[in-house]
Amino acid sequence: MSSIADGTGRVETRPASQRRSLPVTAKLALLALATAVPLLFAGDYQLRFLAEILIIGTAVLSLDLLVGFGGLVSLGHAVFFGGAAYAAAIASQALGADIVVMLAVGIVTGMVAALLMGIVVMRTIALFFLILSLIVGQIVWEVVFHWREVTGGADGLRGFPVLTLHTGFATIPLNNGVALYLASVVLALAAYLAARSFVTAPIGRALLGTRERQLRMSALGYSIPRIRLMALVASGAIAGAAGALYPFVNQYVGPNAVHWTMSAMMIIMLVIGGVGSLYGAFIGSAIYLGIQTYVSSYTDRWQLVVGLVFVLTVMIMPKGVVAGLKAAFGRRKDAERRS
Amino acid sequence: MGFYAVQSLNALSFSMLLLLTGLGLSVVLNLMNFVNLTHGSFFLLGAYVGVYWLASGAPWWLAFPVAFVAAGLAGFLLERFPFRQFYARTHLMQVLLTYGLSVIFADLMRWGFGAQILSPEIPEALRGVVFIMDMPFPIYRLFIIGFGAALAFALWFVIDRTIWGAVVRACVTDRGFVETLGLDTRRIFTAVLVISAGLGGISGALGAGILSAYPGLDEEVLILALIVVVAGGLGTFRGTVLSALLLGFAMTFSKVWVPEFSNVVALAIMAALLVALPEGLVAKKVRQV
Amino acid sequence: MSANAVPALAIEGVAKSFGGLKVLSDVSVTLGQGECLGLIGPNGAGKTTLFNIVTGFLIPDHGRVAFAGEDITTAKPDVRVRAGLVRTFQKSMAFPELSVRENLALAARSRSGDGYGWFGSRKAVAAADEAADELLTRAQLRERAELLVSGLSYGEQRIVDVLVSLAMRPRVLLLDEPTAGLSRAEGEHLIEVVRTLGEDLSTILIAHDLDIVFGVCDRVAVLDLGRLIACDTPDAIKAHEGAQAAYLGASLGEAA
Ligand SMILES: Nc1ncnc2c1ncn2[C@@H]1O[C@H](COP(=O)(O)OP(=O)(O)OP(=O)(O)O)[C@@H](O)[C@H]1O
Ligand SMILES: [Mg+2]
Repeated sequence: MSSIADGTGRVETRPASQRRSLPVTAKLALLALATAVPLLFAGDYQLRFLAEILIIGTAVLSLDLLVGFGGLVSLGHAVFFGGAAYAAAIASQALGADIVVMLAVGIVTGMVAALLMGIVVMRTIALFFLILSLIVGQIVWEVVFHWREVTGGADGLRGFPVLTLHTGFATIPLNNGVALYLASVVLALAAYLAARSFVTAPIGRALLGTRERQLRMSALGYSIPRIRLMALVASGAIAGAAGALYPFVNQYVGPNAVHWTMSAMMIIMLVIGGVGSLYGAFIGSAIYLGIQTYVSSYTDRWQLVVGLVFVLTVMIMPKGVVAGLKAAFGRRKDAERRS
Repeated sequence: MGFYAVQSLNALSFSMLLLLTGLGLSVVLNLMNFVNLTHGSFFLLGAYVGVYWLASGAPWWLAFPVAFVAAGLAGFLLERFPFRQFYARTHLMQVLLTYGLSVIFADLMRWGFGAQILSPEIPEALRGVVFIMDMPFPIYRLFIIGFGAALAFALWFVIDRTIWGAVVRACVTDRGFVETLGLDTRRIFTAVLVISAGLGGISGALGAGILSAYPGLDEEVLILALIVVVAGGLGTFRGTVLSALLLGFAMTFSKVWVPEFSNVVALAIMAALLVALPEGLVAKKVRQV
Repeated sequence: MSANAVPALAIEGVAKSFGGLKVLSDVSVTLGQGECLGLIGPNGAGKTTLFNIVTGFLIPDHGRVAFAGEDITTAKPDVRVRAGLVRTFQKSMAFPELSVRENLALAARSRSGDGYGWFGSRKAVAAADEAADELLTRAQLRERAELLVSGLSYGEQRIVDVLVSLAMRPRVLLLDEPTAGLSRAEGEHLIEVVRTLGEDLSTILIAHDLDIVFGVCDRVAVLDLGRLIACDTPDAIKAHEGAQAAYLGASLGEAA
C-alpha cells in the first residue's frame, strides 16, 4: 500500500527489565557529563554551533515521527519549524523574548500550522503526500518571501530582542553561547522524551499500524485521518518548539527557514542519522551541519560532500550511520570470536 | 483578443516543456515503477549542452540530438549503477537515492559550468517574431510547441501502439513472464531509462531558449515536473498531458492577472486539485480489498 | 428469536459494478440476531465484494445496508467497526512483526476508545493487555502471547486473526474464508473458538468447505455470478438444483 514507507522505524518497546541497559542514575550522570564537556572546552562560537545542531536536530526528530513511524515523507516540514521561528521573532518585538513565551508562541504556531497542513494533506499518501506537502510549503514560502512589511521579505528579520529567562527575582539574558547551548540541551531532551513517549503510547502504535497496513487499521476501527492528524500536530508542536529558539541563535531568521530545501535538508539529516531511531535526528544534524560548516572552509564543494555522504548512507547503511556502523562492528566482533 | 491568443500560446509553449520533462519522469515511473529525481539534472545537462553547442557554430539543429545523447549517456551509466540495485526497493528509498544524486550532480555542474546564467544564442532560423492578430510572438516558442508536440506524440505512439510498448508494459506487470518469452528485461529497462534521460536532455536544450541555464534550474524544473506527474495521477499518459496543460496555463495566466501572487495562485490550483482528487487527475484503478 | 425483532444486519437490493463488470446485482439478505449465516458460491461470485460493501470498504451502486435497524450504507469502515460490525479478511491481515498480544491489544484499545492515547495511557495499555491475555487464555493460546505473529504456524495465525476480531467485541462478525488452507480438524477448532468466545454474536461465514458451512450455519445463502440464487436451511440448500448447478456438478448433498 503506502509503498513509500520502508521497513525501518522501530523503537525498542520491550520493558526495561529485558534490555541490557544502565540504571537511570548512571544514564543521568552520563548525560550531565556529556552536556558539561563542551562547556569546558568549546568557545562561544562552537557553543552556538552546538545549539544550532540541537535545535535543528529537534526539528528533524519531529520529522522522524512522521517519516519513521507514519511513513509520511513530508517536504513541507520546514513550514512548522520556520513558521514558528518567524512567529517567535515577530512576537518578540511586541512581547519581549522571554523563553517561556517564545516556546509557547512557537508550539502553538507549529500546532496550528500542522493542523492546517493536516486538513489539506490528510487524504493523500506516498508520493501524493510528498508533493502536496511540498506545494503547501511553497505557498507559505511565497507568502513569507513577498510579505515584506511583516517578514522582511528576502532580507528576513533582524534586530529583535535577545532571549531572556525570568526567574523569580531577576531576568537573565540568554544571548551567549553557554546559555543558548544549555537551553537547546533542555529543549532537545524534552523533545526526545516527548517523542519517545509518543511512539510507545497507543497513538504511536496506531501510527505505526497505518504505515504498515492501512486497511487493517480501518478494519480495527481506527480512523486513519485522525491518527495522521494527531501525529502531524504532535510533530508540529515539537518542530514549533525548536523553531521558537532558532532565531535567537544568530539573532536572524530568513525565508530559507521555510523553503522546501530546508525540508529536504531535514530529510537528508534524518536518513544519515537513521530513520525511525529518534536519536538519529541529532546525529544526522551534527554530521550535516558539521560538513557544511567545516568542509566549506576548505572547499566550495561542501554540497558535493554532503551529497556523497547521503548517497553512500542510502546505499550501504539505509538504517543510518549509527546502526550501520554498529552492524559492521558487530560483524567484525563475531568474526573475531569465531576465529 | 490578440493579447489572450498570444498568452495562450505562451502558456502552451510552457506546458509543452512541462509535458516533455514530465513525460520523461512519468515513463520511468509508469513503466519501471522507479522514481527518478535526477531528471532535473538531465534537463540542466541538456540545457548546458544546448547553450555550448549553439555557441560553437556547428549546425544548430544538431543541438537537440546531441543533448539527447549526452543526457542519455548519463542515464545509461546511472542505470548500470546504482539505479538497477534500487528497482525493487520502496519509492522512499528511490526518492532518497536519486535526490542525493541530484544534489551531487547539481554541485558538479556548478563546478563545471560555473554559477552564472547562460543563455543560448537562438539560431537565425528560429529568431524573430510572427504576428498573431497584430501581436508579436517569438518563432522559437512556436518551434517548442511544434517540436514538443511531435516528440510527445511519437512517445505516446511507441508506448501505446507498438509491440515494444506492449513488451515494456508487460515487464512492469510481470517481469518473470516476459523473461520466459526469451526477452532480456534488463536491456528493456536500460533502454527505457536512456530514452527518459534523453528526453530530459532534449527538454533542457529546448527550454534553455526561454529559461536559460543556471545552477538551481534543475531543482526548479524537477519540482514542476514532479507536480505535473503526480497531479496527473502517477504515470498515466493522459493525466500527465492534462496536468501539464493545467500547470502551464495556471502559471502563465496567473502572471498576467495577478503578477504579485502568481506562484501562490498556480500552486494553490495544483493543491486544490490534489485535495479534491487525492490520487491525481487520472487515477489508476487497483484492487485494494 | 421473535419474528418482529430487528435483524442484526439487513442487506437490501445491493448492486455493484467495476467498470463494465457487474459483480453484484440486486442482492438482498438479512441476518437474524444470534444467527449464523453461511455464504457460499464459486470463485469470483462476489462474496468478498458483498463483505466489502457491508463493512464500508466499498460503497454500493444501488441498495442499502442496515445494521441493527440503522442505515449505514455510506458510513466509514472505522465507524461501523466501533459500532460492532467487524470482519476478517481473506488474506491474514495481522501485523506479522508485532507480538500476538500486541495484535490483540491494538484491537482492544480501539474498542475501548483508548487507541489514540498519548500521555497517561498506562492504565489503558494495561487493561488492553489484560483483555488480550484473557482471550488468549480462553483460546488456549496464552503461551503464544509473546511470540511474533510471523513466528506462528499458519493455523495459529488464522486463529489469531479471528481472536483479533473478537477482541473488538463484535455484535456482528463477518468471517471471510477463515478456514481456507486449514486441515479439517484445525478448521473445526477455529469455528469452535468463534462459537465459545463470541457471546450474542451474529455471524456470516464464507467458506468453501461445505461440510463446515452445513454443519454450523443456521441458514446458507448461495451467490453465483453476483446474484443470490438461494437462501435457506442447509437441508433445503443441499436439495436446491440451482445451487448444485452453481457448483458445477459437485453434489451438495454428498458433501455433508
Ligand atoms: N476492486 C475491484 N476492482 C475490480 N474488480 C473487482 C474488484 N473487487 C472484486 N472484483 C472482481 O469482482 C469479482 C468478484 O470478486 P470477489 O472477490 O467478490 O469474489 P469471491 O466470491 O470473494 O471469490 P473468491 O471465492 O475467489 O474469494 C471478481 O471477478 C473480481 O475480480
Ligand atoms: Mg473472496
